Amino acid sequence: MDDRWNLMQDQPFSRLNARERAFAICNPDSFIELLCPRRKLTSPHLPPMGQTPQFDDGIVVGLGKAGKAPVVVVSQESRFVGGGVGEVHGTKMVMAIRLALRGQEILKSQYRSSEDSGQVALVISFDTGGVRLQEANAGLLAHSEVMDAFQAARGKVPIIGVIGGTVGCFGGMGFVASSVDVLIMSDVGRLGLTGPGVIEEVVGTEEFDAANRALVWRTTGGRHRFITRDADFIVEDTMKAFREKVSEVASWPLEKISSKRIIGTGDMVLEQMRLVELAANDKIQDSWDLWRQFGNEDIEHLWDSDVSEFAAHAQRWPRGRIGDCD
Amino acid sequence: MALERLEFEYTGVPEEKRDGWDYLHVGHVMSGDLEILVERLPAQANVSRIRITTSAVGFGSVWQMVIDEFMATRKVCGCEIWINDDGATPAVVKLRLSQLAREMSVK
Repeated sequence: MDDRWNLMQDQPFSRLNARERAFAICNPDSFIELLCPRRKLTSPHLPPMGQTPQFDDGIVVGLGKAGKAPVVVVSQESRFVGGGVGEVHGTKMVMAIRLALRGQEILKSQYRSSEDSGQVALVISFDTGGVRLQEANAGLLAHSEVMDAFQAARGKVPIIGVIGGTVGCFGGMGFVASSVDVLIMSDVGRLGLTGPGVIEEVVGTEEFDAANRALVWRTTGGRHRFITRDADFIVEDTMKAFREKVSEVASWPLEKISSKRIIGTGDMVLEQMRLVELAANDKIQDSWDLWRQFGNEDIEHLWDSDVSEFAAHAQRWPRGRIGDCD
Repeated sequence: MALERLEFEYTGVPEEKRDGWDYLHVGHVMSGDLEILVERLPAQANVSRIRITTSAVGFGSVWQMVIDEFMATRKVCGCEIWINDDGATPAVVKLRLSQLAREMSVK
């Protein structure tokens, strides 16, 4: 058995790099990287600006198995330009989504039922601040192409998002992470659109103090996202916890996975608007006010409790969605 | 603003036994750090080539010293080594090189 794989399972997900995450989220010895560093597919835009490129352009894509499901894995590396999405980075992500879709079609055509064939799932580990500013146009375009590829994969390939890195998921990729089917976060993971530092810079420290880590995490962190149902699951910050949850979700029928999605229909948009309306209310000054609104009482205890206890006791936003609770 | 590209070449005795890897990769390109990619050249090659891309311009002689030392102790032969550097100090470079050496002997 693979020793490296075993060692990684007990390590914090947040401390592993993108390649290790992609490797260890799959079954042992099953991950194969595509367009690995050896291919030297680097950004053409960075060198003219004096920025050293990286051989994988900050993203790892590949194939593997999660439990019984064949998976296409995408894993962003936040150490390289903050996980920013550039032209090559974005293209690798888009092609991975298309590959998952193509793989699903081939499986469907060769096997009669999904019980025989299994079902290809797409797993994306986000760790990014969104568009890479050095290649802004290409980066923005990549975001829209990813959304487009998601749309093509709707109802065909289940998309499982994972956020547990040190950067989290911000900027345009915040939109992308919100449009996956199932989103799994740890309490280290953060999800948002405008990053804390940018909010502070634009509207001032009184509005949002980006140096206040407690404030940042209770506003964008996994616990809050679980309560507002932006995240479907919250898990411990270990590789094993993420891997087990991904395998579990990947084994669900497509309909069940799709039912977890929070955007995509008019009704879902109205639901989101309801939450925005609630949060914009004068009485809500802090994320914890929102928690109280949903019926959570001993907030500080809830905040300090370990993740499994938190997940069991947190009162979440009572939106009328199918297949809640689990 | 521009990046500096450096190239070094070392000649040695080709390895007799080639163990189980044909490429290895360590590190990240981030401020003060670097990534190293090593590829095996075809068997019998007695030359190792090292190509460095760095954002810190004007440190060619320092690179030469660090790489000389590594090649002298490791006797790496028949490899192509690619380094992408974002201003790592010589200490960090040596740390990454020793990480690479460990990977080379483990695999």
